[in-house]
Amino acid sequence: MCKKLIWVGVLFGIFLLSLYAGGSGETAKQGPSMAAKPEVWSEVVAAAQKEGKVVVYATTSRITLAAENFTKKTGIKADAHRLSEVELIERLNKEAASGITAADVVLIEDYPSMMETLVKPGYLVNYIPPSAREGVPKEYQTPLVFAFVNRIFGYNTEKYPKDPFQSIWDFTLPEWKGRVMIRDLVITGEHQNAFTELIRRSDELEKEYQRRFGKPLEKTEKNAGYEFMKRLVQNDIILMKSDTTIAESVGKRGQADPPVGFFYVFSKHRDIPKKNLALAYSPNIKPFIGYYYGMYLQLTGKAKNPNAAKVLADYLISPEGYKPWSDEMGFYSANTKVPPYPDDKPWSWWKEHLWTYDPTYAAEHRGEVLDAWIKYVQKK
Amino acid sequence: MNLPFLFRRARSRLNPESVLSFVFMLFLAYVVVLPLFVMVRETFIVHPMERFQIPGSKAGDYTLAHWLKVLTGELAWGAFYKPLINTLIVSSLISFLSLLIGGGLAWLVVRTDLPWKKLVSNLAIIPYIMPSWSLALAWITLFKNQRVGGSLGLFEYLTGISLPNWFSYGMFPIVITLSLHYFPFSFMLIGGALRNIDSQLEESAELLGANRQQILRKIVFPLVAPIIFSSFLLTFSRGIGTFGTPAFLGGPVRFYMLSTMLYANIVGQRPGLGYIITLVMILFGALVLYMDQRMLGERKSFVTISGKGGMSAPFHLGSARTVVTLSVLVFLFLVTVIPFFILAIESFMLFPGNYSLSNLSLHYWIGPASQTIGIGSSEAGILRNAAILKALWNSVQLGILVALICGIGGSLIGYTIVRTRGTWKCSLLDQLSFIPYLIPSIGFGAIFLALFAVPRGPIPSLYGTLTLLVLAASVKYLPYSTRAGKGAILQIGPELEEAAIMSGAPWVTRIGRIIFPLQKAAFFSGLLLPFISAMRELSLVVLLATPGTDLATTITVKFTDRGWYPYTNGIMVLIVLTILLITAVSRKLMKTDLAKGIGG
Amino acid sequence: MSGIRLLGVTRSFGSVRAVDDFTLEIPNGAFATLLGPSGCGKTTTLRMIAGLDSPNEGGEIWIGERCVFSTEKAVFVHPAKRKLGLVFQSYALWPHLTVFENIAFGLQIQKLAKSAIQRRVEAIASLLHIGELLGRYPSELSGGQQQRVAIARVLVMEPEVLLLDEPLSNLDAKLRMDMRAELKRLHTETGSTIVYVTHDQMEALTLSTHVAVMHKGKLQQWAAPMEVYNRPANLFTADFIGNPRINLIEGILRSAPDGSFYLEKEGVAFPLPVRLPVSTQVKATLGLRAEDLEITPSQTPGSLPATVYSVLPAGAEWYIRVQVKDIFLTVTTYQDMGLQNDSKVGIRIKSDRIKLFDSEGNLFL
Repeated sequence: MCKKLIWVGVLFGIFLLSLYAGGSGETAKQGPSMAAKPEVWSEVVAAAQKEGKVVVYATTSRITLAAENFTKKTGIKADAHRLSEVELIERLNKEAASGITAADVVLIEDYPSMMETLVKPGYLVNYIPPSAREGVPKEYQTPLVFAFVNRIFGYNTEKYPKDPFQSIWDFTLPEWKGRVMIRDLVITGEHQNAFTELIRRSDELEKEYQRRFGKPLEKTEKNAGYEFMKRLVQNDIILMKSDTTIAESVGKRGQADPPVGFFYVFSKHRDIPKKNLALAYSPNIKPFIGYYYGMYLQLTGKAKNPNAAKVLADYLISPEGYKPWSDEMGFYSANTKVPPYPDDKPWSWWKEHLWTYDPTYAAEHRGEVLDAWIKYVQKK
Repeated sequence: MNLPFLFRRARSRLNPESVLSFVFMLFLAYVVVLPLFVMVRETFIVHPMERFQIPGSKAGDYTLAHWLKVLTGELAWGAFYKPLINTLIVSSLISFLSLLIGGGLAWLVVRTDLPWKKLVSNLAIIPYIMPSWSLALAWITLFKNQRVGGSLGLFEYLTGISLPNWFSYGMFPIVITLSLHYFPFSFMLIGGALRNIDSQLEESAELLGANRQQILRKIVFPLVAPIIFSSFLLTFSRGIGTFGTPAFLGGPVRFYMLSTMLYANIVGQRPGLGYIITLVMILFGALVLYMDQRMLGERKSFVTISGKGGMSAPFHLGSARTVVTLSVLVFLFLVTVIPFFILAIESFMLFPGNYSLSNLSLHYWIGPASQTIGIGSSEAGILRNAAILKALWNSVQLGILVALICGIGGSLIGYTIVRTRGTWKCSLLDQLSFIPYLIPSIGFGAIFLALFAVPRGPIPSLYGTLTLLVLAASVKYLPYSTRAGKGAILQIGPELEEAAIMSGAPWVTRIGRIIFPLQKAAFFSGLLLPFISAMRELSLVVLLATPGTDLATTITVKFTDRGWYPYTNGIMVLIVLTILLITAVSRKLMKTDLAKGIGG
Repeated sequence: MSGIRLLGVTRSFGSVRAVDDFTLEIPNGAFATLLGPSGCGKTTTLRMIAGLDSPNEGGEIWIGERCVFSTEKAVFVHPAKRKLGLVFQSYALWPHLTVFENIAFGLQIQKLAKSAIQRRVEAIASLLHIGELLGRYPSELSGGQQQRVAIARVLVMEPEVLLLDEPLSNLDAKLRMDMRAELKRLHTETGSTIVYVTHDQMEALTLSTHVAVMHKGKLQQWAAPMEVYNRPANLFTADFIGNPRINLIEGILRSAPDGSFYLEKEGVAFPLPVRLPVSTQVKATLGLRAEDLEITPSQTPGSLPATVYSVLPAGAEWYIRVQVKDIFLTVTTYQDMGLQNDSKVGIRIKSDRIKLFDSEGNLFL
């Protein structure tokens, strides 16, 4: 009888152990937290060499190339993970909640959603490496902007030799019914942030309506921003999952009735020659031709390789480290020392023509925006 | 009452079944009941991103706001009720259709003189083996219309006909593809029931003068009715929780179901709302289960156990035979082989949409990572891609581990339930082991994430580990294995073990020398289903997998999201091939039978 | 010394008492049969002796000098340690093991040497005439052979007590007769205590030294077979035992003017050769076995007029169903009386082996 109990106990114990042992080595130890003493860069570099490795999460796929370049240059092994925007947020939140710090450096989008859960508690910390101190304007240092990303409106140049758009309200017209593609707000926080700006500056939207159609906007929602959202969605909008697909769908040649793209990432235009797309963005839309947001570089508070993290941060901000991104359009380094991409307008031009959003306002109102979106999106 | 006495009394009442039942009850309570409580609690808590919409609140507060919002707010219709109605309609239609198809096929195979029965049976199981959304992908590849622009769907390319939106996306294809995915389930269950009907029941009716039709209507059908109803309900509850297909086919026309809303809310940092939706899904699942139990009660067992089903004379199809056979074969071909080839072909096309022969290439399979060739994804070909191969390996590992845990665990739990028959331990264990079935996969994933992503007591955080996936999948599939285990032990009967008890065999010996050898075939069959399920699982793991623990299925989502279908389809092909291979091998070696695996 | 004692054993399933306050003492070396219709609790009782089941509402079970179960004293001895053997109704042979392996199983558990196991298995196999079957599988054997294997499996362990659960019910009639003889012989040869469960009262009478008649969980009578046959303790026992069924006549006891007694039912007076004074005007039931009656030519003095209802020849005897007014009786005759349906005959109570049961069904005479 006792033997049976022992057997059962052993089996159960093994089972429990297997759960424990199955954990990845990532739960092993946490590194020291960032200390706030004046640093000597050479010491940092030396310490980084000792650490020998660094882990970076990013939403941009070119991080892999940058990581390889970094490894080649410094000998410090850079382990790059590319995640989608929501995945990255989810992952960081979960790791924070479980007390794990797997990454050392993160390049994040959708900053507003991280303010509460990651930045405020100190899971992510801001660090200004030497290259940033030298090249990045003060206003973009905290939080440290790695690059600006713009999202624009695009159309098929085969079907429309000339830009068919002049106003944002054009997208709500019957002629574009069922032809407007946008990435679902539900899966991208940045869109939600962007739309809060439409709400915040809804007066300007209202004025634009007046300008375009010569009559006042009849609102069925509480402001012009929501009115716009509603009309846009209920003009039989097409919800997509990826900007890459949007760009391809819009630009593919040989289509009789190609769709148009709303708020997709401009950097997709780099595929135009390779994929033979007939794609162009609309530079004429009033009151804005798209929006931009910041991709921020942060270090983790309890990074296991804090010094390597700093060195990588410094590298990425520098023109040399930024190279994988500077060869194409759609990414604009905050570092003034980085030469702009020749076949694109300079950042100063874009900044003028794009809207962006206020992080605090966005954080507070995006829930409302998402709810409204979901409401409009449902077919009655 | 003194202590030695109590101890002796406890010892005198101790037997392996009791111990096992307590162990399992504790375990199940921890992994099943606890998460439910956690989830219910979370629906009343304000989460960081939610506080902005609840004036004056801060994270961690208790609130009724989530419930009010979901059930009564102005958004309730769009965010909850409409998806709920969609879900109920879709699930009902799916259940009905798959019953029709599966039941019809079952009758044809078991009861008529249809030729090539073996081939038909084998083909009929395949749709269940493939990931549920592979049919959705094939559908899109075939019937994509201009709404989403881009390259032409194959149908439009071949015929030039542009298909209407309601055909290409939304409820219509969702119902069709899911019905085609679930009908094997009904096929196996109803086939099993038909096979087990005691022929004497029909023969006595025949002797009394009833003709074939009357026998079918008055004898066969009522006997099989409980199983029919059961499979309707089981399919229904599966339909409620499925995520992949509605996500793929519903998006372009803004057709939402509860599962996609759940995903949206969890991913959008609003777990309070997300968990409420999960609870609603569970509620329906429980309702369904309750109805199933009421209908069946204990009668359920009689059909499977009184397996003295001899074959009564088959129904002759007569002149219709050729037509019927042809239709069946064509149909099966369409739903199994064709989708597979469509997916496979996409992975050999260099540029999507270009169906000419010159566009065929092995680039996505064995080509190097490149930004210029084909769609320029900078990803190496599937067979050279470290991430993909690792993901595939993870899937296989997951499959094997889950199969072992479910096989052994399910057998033991089934054994325990049968041996404690009639006691409270039995019913409690029975209920507990069935609960995972009620919780929709995607909700289950969310719960497990909440529960095990943080350290709890002696168990550290499992976030980012394969263990978490193994645990979630094992617990989720346990109901099937338990049912199979129960069935197997019931078939053996108590006396064979009692004889061993009388001979002095200790529990381990009894299991090893008597019980296990007798149900070897059933055991290995019981391993097969969890393996297949784990390999093709998406909804359960989509929230749990991390880059290091990516599975073959979750990695395809990444590729799909970025529009890189050749990789998606190629990986899908690999998954299906792997599953088919393992199924065939296990059949040859261990004579496994998938039908036994679901206790049918 | 392995007598078996059951004291106040009660086992209930839910609200139903399968075995109700059952007390029995089986002497060492007895062949005790638990007899009763299905559902009377006999198999449950057997299983409790075996230890596969236990009383859940009190009781004690002793085997020999050892208490193997007691609720009060919290004693439970594991079945394997009770030194008994159980032959299941279905034989419960392990289908995946050969006959040899089936029989050897228990010895292997005890970790006996291979040679010893070989010896003992072969010995027991030859005792039961299944020596040539050792290499076969149970599915290859006939019913009778399987049964012998089941018995061999149990006997090879040399138990002190043998429990058999309706072992012959799966066999055809002829085989059953043969096996009965074998079992009886086995009993005398091994001298072990046997507890036998059956619903066949013929079996019980021919095989046992003691019979326990059970009904709805309660013990009806515990006595030697002939005692149970001749002096059944109550109506149930009287009715259950005996083939053909006993004739039971419910009526009122009366006394005749001449001092003799008779039972009156529906105007028919059955004379009773009663010697003891009994109270009259009370309800009673008269039990008459078919062989206690005889057929006389009609109008014979001292016999009751009757009509033949049907004649059932049964080889060595005849069962004649007769009708007295509206009362039907069965009479056994031992020679062909050439009777036809509806012939008029007389019925006479042949012996003084009548049984009288009071209004509660208990024997008082």
